[in-house]
Amino acid sequence: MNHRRTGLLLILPALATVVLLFGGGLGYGFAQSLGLAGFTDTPVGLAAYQRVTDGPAFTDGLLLSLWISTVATGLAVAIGVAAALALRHTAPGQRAATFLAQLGLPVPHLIGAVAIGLLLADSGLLARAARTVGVALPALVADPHAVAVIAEYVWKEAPFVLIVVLAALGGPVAEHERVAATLGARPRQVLRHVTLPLLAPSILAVAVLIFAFTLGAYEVPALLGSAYPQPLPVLAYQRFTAAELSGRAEGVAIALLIAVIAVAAALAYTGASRRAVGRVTGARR
Amino acid sequence: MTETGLATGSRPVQEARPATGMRRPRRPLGVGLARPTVLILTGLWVAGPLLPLAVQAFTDQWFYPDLWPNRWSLAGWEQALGPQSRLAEAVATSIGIGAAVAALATALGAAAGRALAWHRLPGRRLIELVLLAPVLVPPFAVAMGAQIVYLRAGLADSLTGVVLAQLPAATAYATLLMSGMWAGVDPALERQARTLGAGAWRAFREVSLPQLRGGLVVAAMFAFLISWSDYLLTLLIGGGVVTTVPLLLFATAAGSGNQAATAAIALVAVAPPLLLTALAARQLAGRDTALLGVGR
Repeated sequence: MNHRRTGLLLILPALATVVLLFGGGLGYGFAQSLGLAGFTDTPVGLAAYQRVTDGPAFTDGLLLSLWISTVATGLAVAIGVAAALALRHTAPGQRAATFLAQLGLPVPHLIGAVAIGLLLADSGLLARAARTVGVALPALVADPHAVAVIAEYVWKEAPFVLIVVLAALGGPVAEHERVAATLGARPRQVLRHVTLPLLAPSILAVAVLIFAFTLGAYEVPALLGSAYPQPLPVLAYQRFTAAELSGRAEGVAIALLIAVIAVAAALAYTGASRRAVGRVTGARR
Repeated sequence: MTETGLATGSRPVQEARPATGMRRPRRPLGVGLARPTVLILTGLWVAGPLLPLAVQAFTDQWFYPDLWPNRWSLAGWEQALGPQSRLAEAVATSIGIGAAVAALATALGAAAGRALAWHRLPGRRLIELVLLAPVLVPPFAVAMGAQIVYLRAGLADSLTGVVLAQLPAATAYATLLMSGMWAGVDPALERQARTLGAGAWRAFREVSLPQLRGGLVVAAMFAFLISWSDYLLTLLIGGGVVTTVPLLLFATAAGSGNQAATAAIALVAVAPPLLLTALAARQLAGRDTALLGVGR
């Protein structure tokens, strides 16, 4: 039964779906960005990439994208890990928290964006509440620091971190912690030298997924972001749908640059997670 | 990239259990916070931003700086459900696309998951990497490139086109999930059935399938939710002709300024994910739900 051929036959439909529908689009998009295919008047070569990266709109957009993804990932991870550590020793608490967090996970980001918009807009609930206590808030939606965009991502992804870290805490972490405590480590040392490094692979995996996702997400900054600077996905969509033909190649070029950054982050993570666990257990996975 | 297994369930992770009997003398940092507080905070965190939607949907007068609306009204719902809004049509379209994506992705994922869990595969690392690509690469990079192909094939602006565009990501997630599920089924049982004379299909149907039922439901649910949440792929490939609930919601939120109607549509859009997750909560181990976190 474990013949290779049966295995290949079973995996082929899924693989073909991803390779043809996903890889095909990616490859064809790459060809378009190089002026090799599609409705385009872009000359063959890197012209689209040069046009796109030339000028402040791309640089500002890239910096804004990196700012949004880095801050959102950092905050979501910090909040999620802290909540998981606070809940780890109570079974009912964990179950309830996991259930609550699970409920939040499938809420589409677009709905999150609408909700956060109602909350943080100039006439939103937060501004109303602040006014009753006599505080005037700065603009949080469509502001240059993308506060509302980051807030939506953190709101949506922190429960995700909580669930993953709670699951990871069920592994051999407690044993290693007991060993360290028996050997005289203080709680702070246990956390710093045992717990966090052992959780590092899960935390890093989640961080990479959040980073990659927020880097490529369109609807949240499109709804809550400012008109300038625009994060890369919004910029890519605008170029792609622009009136002039060359915009299509430029839009695809920006989208592919985002993909390169996201994949680079994933590769960096693979190495980092191995090192982190190896430091504690002495084993390389 | 198999390390992402921790977040995706391709490697079984034990569910968190409290250490019974053994109480560590001193708790690590972060436990100082009272637990009920953390629990209440979690609830507030999740529900907080969604509750104002429920209030907003039932008022047409909630002027700044009032903390509470001074008039209740169903005007938002009338607008959202009225003849001009096409919400009912959008819900039907979303459900149709979601069901098609769920059925296809679950079937593909169940087969591929079995291969990943049970079979020796040449180039396994590469296969896993390819299957993970839709999780990491922003899907719109693909949709932009593929749009012309869909146009030329006559699939742009069609339901079929949108289903095909959404399928790779849903298939990738379903495969990751199902490979974890298959890993929990003992291959020896099917072999015994075969020894007793059952054909390959019958052995699968009567031995493994009953054990996989929960997993298949979860995989179908995830695939459906990935489809239900999608905005940009539907916009790019559907060309604005295929109007799903997210497209309607975005257009109303960005274009109409009618906050009550926006909130009403958002409530309609958020109901299926909440209901499905609540119903399936018992089926879901923490590691499985983790997938939902990236299931856009």
